[in-house]
Amino acid sequence: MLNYQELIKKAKDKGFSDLEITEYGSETLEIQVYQGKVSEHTESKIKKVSIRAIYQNKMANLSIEDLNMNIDLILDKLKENALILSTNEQYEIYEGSSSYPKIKLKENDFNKVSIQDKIKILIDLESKLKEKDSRIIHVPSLGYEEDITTHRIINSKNLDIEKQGKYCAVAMQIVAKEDDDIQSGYEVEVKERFDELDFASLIDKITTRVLSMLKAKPVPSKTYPVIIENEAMADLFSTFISIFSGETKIKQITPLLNKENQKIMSDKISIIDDPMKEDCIFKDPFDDEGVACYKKEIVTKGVFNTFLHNLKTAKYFNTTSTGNGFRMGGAIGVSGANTYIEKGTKSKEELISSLKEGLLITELAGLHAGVNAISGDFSLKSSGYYIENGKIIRPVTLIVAAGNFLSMMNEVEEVASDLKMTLSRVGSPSILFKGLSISGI
Amino acid sequence: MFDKKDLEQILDLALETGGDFAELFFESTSSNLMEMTMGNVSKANSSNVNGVGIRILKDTEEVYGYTNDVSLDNIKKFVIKLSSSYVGKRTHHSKHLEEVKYKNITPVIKRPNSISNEEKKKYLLTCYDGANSIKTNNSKQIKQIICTLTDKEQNVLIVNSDGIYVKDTRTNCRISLSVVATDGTNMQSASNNTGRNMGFEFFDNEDLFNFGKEVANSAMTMLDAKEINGGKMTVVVHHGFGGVLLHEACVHSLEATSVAKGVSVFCGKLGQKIASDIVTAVDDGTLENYWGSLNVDDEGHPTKRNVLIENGILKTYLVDYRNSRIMNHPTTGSGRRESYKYSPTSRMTNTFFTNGTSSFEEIIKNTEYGLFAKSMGGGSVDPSTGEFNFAVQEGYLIEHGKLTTPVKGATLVGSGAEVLMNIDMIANNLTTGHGMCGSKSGSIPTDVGQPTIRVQNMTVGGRG
Repeated sequence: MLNYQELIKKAKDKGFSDLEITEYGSETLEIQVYQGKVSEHTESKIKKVSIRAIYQNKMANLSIEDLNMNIDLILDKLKENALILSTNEQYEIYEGSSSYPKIKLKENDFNKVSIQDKIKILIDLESKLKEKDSRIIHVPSLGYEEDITTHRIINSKNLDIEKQGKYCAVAMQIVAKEDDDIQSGYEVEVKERFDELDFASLIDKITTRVLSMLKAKPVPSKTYPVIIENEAMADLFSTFISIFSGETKIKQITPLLNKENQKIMSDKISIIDDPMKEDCIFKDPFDDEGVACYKKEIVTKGVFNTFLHNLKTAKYFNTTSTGNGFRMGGAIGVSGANTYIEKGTKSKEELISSLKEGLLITELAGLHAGVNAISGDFSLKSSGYYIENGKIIRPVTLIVAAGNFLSMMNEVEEVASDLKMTLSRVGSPSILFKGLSISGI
Repeated sequence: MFDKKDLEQILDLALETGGDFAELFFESTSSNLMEMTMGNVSKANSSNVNGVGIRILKDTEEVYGYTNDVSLDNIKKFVIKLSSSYVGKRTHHSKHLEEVKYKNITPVIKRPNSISNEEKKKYLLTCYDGANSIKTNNSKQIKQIICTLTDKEQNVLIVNSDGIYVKDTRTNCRISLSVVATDGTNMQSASNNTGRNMGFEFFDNEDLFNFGKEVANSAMTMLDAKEINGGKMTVVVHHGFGGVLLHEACVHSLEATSVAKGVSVFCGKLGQKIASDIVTAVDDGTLENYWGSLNVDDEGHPTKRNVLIENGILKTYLVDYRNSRIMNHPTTGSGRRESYKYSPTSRMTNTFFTNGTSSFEEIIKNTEYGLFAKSMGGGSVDPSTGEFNFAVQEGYLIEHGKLTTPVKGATLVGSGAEVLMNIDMIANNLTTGHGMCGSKSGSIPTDVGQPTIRVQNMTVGGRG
């Protein structure tokens, strides 16, 4: 097994100025049921490390799962990778913050229910979904997942900190059919404890949604006032979060260059990043560089306050890290942690009843392809409902909603009070926009 | 590594509680990434993935486990834990392991480990120089050029209780490039990539300078693009990565993953007409050194050339071992997974429409009005409805049989079943593009391809 202290010591001997080891541990269980049987049952146990080290002022990264790897080989690889770097970035291994916020984890109850009992609950859930309405013809996926993680950072500046986390989740997909029309829908619920999962309300939520989408049709192409529902809005927002990253500022590929302290969005919009947000399951007392996390307003009433930074991007702009240095595919990047659009006061229903004609969009598809995070343009297959005289009239599908994220955020009519955080740790309430271009028939 | 006796013993242990099939998938993979930003090396990262995936089947039921602690003791403990999910008496014993021999279709001359960082940097520089060589002026400039070279050598050992013992090495080398151009107010990006399941000799034979130049040209051209007016129209999808349409909208629905559960629109349609008569589609994992090719799939079965659709008639689904039990359909050498952290399932390899009889010029000349999708972005599909959407990265209007204005913001929307029937012209210029396909068993290299095709009556979304 890899000896961390020996690795740090040998690195110093070989001329590295600093070295840091991040150890990730995880234990998972996943169960899927299909037609009354277990279709998948997966258990795992992994302990892996990511190492970064500074050699001649350059930072190299290495992640390894083979924990018996020879220390000299590790250091040689790091040295080789450091020597090829030719950017003028300033790198730093952090000595630690003066204090860190504390996470209060709830007591773990995953083992209080046996795997066999969890399977029984899922099979029961599947039959309840099918019994709910004769138009529900398939439950193609229904699964449960639990994950217990540990995350420890040890470095040559004597930092040694650890955080833990756990969650369990239920996810399901159903397919409904009426005459020749088929509609499907997906729901997921994530909690910290098993006994917090509310299976009954999840069944209600998914069946109501999918059945109401049956016989959906496109609407004529034109510009409509549009309410994008909370989860769909959070999904859309998540694809544009990189515009706030100090990395895109360095690369000059954000539309927000030189826009600090300027109004970039409607004054109805405030955007917050709060890694320790009270009601979130995922919390971070520190980022992947060991910097303490804290709550900050990225946008206040439409005015852009700050980019998010890690140690490197902060140093580049002569400022301090915002505690947003998180690892993305091997190296430390910049990302939000519980980033959300602040809620308003009116309910979603009030927004709907305020519209003479418009659309409620509940789902946006193809987010990984139909958006351009650099220009802010998006063009996405959407579905939802047609609204007339303040009432939902009929379901709508096979339409394409297109616009520009920043322009749209300047055309906000109203922000609802139904803030929802998604699995990707981004949140939004439902938002009513003055006009969005819709292509249909 | 363990000898065959140890492995036979573990496999046999796995069947003690009534399982009828056990499999071990050992993996040791090393990969490297080098990123160049505006001519400077901005990232050099390395990683290794190392562990074992354990699978036990009982009829159609499955239990799977994975760990990166590959000591004999730990694997045995894990196997006992997993097999305890089945409550029953032994019905099967593990068979004697026999090494599977195959013809190597993915030969490698220059292994990634033998290439120094300095050499890798040279390939990236050629690419950067190409992108940087195009003419700019005061109003239109290149803002950003990022190229990334990734290489990966995956060594696998797959053994199962039916006696399969097979080793394989997969070597994936790829260069991706993204260019951002600006005219002061607008920014447009374009990207492309090129890769093979072979060594670095691949890059020696590629014109990386021209590759870079073309991507930069595309970004510059799109600065002049106008918003397209959405609606139903004729769409001509260009060759190469245009095949993403076939991949996403049709062949995902032919994978056993969705067919076995009865959720695919193509269920029960074997032998029936599902596409226009001129359409033949193939998934072929045996093409030498192609990006999506493999000697053996991740269940140890040799890959095949599977004709999916022949002259419009559905011929086969893509089926892995476990789904072959559920569907009572032979396996097609399609069991794939990203790593030992995933149980294998039916996936694509290199998937494409075969050549037709028209020329590219004929197709454009015979189109009165429509959209020419020169290069496609990504897309997604709901397999239960077959509904898809794709972004068009570089598009042009076709007016009176000629390519005219560049257009942006176009999205293609529709259903796979409909598109297959509406293809009315296919060119004779088949090429493939190189993607990473994400699905249930992770992200894997796949080629998508086609000749230029024409589709009638497609919904095009746009902002104009």
